[in-house]
Amino acid sequence: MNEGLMARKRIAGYSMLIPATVLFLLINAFPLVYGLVLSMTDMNYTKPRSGKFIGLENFRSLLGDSEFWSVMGFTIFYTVMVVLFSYALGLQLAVLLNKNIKFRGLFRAAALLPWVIPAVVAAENWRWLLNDQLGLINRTLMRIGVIHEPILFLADPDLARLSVILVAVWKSYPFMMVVLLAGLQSVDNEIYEAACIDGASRTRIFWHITMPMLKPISMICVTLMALWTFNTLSFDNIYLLTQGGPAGSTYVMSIQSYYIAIYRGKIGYASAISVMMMVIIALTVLIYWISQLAAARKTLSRVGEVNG
Amino acid sequence: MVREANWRSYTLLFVLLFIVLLPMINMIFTSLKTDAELYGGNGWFPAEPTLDNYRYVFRNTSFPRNVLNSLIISASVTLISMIAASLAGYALTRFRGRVFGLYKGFLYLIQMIPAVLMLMPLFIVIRKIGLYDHMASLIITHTAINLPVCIWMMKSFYDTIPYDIDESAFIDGCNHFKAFLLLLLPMSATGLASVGIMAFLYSWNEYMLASVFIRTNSLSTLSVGLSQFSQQFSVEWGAMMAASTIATIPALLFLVFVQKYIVQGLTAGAVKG
Amino acid sequence: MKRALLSVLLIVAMLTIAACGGNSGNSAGSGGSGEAGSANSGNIGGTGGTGGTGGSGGNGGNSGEVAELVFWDMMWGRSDSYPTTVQKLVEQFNNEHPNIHVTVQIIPWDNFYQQFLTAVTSGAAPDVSTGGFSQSIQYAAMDELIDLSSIVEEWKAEGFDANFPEGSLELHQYNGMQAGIPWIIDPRVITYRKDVFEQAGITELPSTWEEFFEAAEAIKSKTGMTPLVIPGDRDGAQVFLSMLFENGAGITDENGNPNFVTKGVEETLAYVQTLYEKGYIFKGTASYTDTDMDSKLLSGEAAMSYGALRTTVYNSGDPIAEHLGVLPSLKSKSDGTPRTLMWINPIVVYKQTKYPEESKIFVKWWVEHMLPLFTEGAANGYPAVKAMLQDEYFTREPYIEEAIRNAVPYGVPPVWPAKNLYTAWSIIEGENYLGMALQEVVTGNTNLAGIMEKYDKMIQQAFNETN
Repeated sequence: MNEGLMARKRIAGYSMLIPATVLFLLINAFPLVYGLVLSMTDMNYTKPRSGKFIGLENFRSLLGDSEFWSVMGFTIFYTVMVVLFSYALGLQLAVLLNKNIKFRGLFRAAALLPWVIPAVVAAENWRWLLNDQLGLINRTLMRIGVIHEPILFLADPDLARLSVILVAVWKSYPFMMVVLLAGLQSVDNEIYEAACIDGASRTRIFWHITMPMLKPISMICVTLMALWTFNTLSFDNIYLLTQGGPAGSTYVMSIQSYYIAIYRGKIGYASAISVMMMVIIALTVLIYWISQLAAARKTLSRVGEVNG
Repeated sequence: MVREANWRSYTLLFVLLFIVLLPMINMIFTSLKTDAELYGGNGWFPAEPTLDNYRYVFRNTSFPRNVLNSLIISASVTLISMIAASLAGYALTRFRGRVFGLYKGFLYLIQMIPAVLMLMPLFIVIRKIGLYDHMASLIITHTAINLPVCIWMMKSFYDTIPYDIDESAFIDGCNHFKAFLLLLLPMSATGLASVGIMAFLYSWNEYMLASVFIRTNSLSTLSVGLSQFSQQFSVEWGAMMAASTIATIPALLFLVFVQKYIVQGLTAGAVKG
Repeated sequence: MKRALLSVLLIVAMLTIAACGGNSGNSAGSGGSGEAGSANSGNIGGTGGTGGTGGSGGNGGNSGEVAELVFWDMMWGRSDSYPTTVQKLVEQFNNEHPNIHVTVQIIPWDNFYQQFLTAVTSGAAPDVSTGGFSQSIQYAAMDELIDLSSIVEEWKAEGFDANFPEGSLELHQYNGMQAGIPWIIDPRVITYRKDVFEQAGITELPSTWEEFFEAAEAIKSKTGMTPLVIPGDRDGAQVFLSMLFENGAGITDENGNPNFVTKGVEETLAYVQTLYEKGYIFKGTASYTDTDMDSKLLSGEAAMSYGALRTTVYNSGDPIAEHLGVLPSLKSKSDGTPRTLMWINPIVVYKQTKYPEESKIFVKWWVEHMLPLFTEGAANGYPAVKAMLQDEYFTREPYIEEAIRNAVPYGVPPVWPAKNLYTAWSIIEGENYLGMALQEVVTGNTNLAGIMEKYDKMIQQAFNETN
């Protein structure tokens, strides 16, 4: 292939990227740059003549604010928990719905419903279910005598944290389920049959055959879900359920940024929080890559040793 | 053996599904209750089920119009996403080079932007290009925000299609575009279905941008339309739940129809990719 | 394929229903409200204009041409009655003023703060709007409102200005300009069940905190019901504020300087703590919304509720509604003054309008003719114009009449004892400081002094940031 041909071929490729790129430049790129710039100013809506460039001052005050650290801590905790449990639930349902069950299609559609419900509806319905006096969960548990006093799902600061995680898991597991179901379906039946013939138990088959085969696809959906939860879902779910209460116990970074921007007009400072969110994600990805590289290097060196 | 379904599987499935569907059941029951029962009643089942709330939503409010708007917007977003994502995904698979590598990194970066950060700048952009209070504003923003994931999906889908197929088309005299249009696109029905459903659901449920970009009541989406049932310090519960149930139906239908394809689509894609 | 066909058929059916439902029955409510005067009914292509904002052809104030105004009104009443009533009233105005044409858009309460902020800061403000309580001060501080004093002057000449609650006009003044005109008032009331009081043997209505405790104890021991239910979310902040007023305390002093670490505040916190510890309010209060409050009162679990008067919820003919009454507002000690929180929301005109004079004409007319918004639109609250309260609509239920008699005269605005709204209010309300303080007490935090200082710090910071 000569240079001209390569260049011509490349142009075809570039031109195929055009529709997407136009949208990106228009919609995604500007806010990104704008947000980055804003985060380094003291721009405040309520003070018309603000907007001076102040460099990293916002970040310095942010890192020195103890409330920021506790909010960040909860945001990370929340993300990890949501990803973990939505994965577990999604996996369990995917395994079940991979089996030869009658009306499988209908069950699958039913299991996907939480994905479909608008967030505000989901939040309101969950709030009713979790209500201490009239909510179904408390009433049932009290009626069968498991508890004697209602559980304050949304009123107790610690329980509220668990409740928002619960609702987020409920909303997030369908995506995990769908992806994992796809992964399960790609596993050849023959491998399972061979293992059965060899006398392997179900548990062994699951952990030693199924799970490793699911690894690549699991990485993808876990990464995506972590990203989404951290960035957007943390806002939607929590804001609608508790608005960050009670007593600020379910504050996450996206809500904090929102409040500061909207109610105090300190859009510069709020942008700095958002930029910090991006930094955290970038750092996490970096750490992950480095660990992967280190693991790969170790494997390679071991291989090298073996091969002499 | 692994795929056998025994009574244990069925039981576990039913229990999980019941728990998972509780809020939905609650929603439907609430929508069937009268106002008196909503506030005074203690029961979970509607003692005297009524379709009043549904009638109210259909006849007395602008909500049906909102559902229609959402359908239009979500369908457009789905269509554009499918086109742009399949083109870009194909390009990123088949071509090597620094630009393409950087592009992948760029996609990653865009995904990391928190929604909160995007709101005000996006509003400025939308105003500048004159699309404030037009449905088009949501169509392009929803598409753009959702696109990175869609491109990822299509790319990994195309990764599984061996280059030989492209080459057979080249031998027959097609260029890249023709090969794409005539050969690969038809093959990617399942990948497109996955992209379609991701795009559709995102746009269907989106609230923040929809509430700010569109002002005219008759142009609003359903997620904004649902909020008309909230007054300053109270909520019309029966009506809101009836409206939510109505809002869930198209999406559910879409799911039933498409769920088979998503699974296939994702299979071909991400596992081997 | 059959499944696909079925799905398609169902979708088509839905679309048909949606299309029909959207056109009949509510062209006034939705189809009409947005489309007149703006060229954007669903066009996908941009026209380059900014459809939906104030002014059209860009010619300001020519006397020969029709002034196009955009009016953003909040969803003040039920979704079936309010939008149509507003539309009708606007049409009446348009008919009476051939050279002004007003288009109204109803803004939902969810997210309204953000919607207004985004619109105003990017030049997409409407001409006139109602809104939240602090709408006037918030946007006046950003220099985005025009002075409405001329309207007040005209009213003074007509004698109409005596209609407004005392101090309400002054409330919405900023740096000498009239930033907003008060038009709707909404007091916080203590609704009680007369039959339960009878059952508990309460013959005299409590008027102080001490008497309230006695009544609560009687209810608890003789009927087993929880005496009082209050919300614990943002609406709970209002109840707490109202209790502060009952005790003569507030967020600031008379000059609008933050003053939260006071004996008055501490006593109020202790009052709430007693209510919580003695079981006079529910243990789960911190998570309650207004809906929880309504359902607990109407289902017979609580004897009293404290919040907005829930007229849209208490249906007449409902067995419990027959027994509802409204307590006269409380005072904390017998030598105090009864007070309760009362919202007084403004209507404002934005500087971005191209037709300031016409906008003012509209505002003046609107406030003078707004009675149907309540009588037909079922707006939540009462008109700020005293003369309108004589209408028989406001005596249609005993408890509504009692609310007007027993609460409205004692109503004071949220910024009491300050006389003017201050800009820090948006932060204090928006970030829900009082609500959070209340939540701390009702989740068992007994360190009242600590709570007081924590939120005082936040309040101080809010004031620092807005100066």
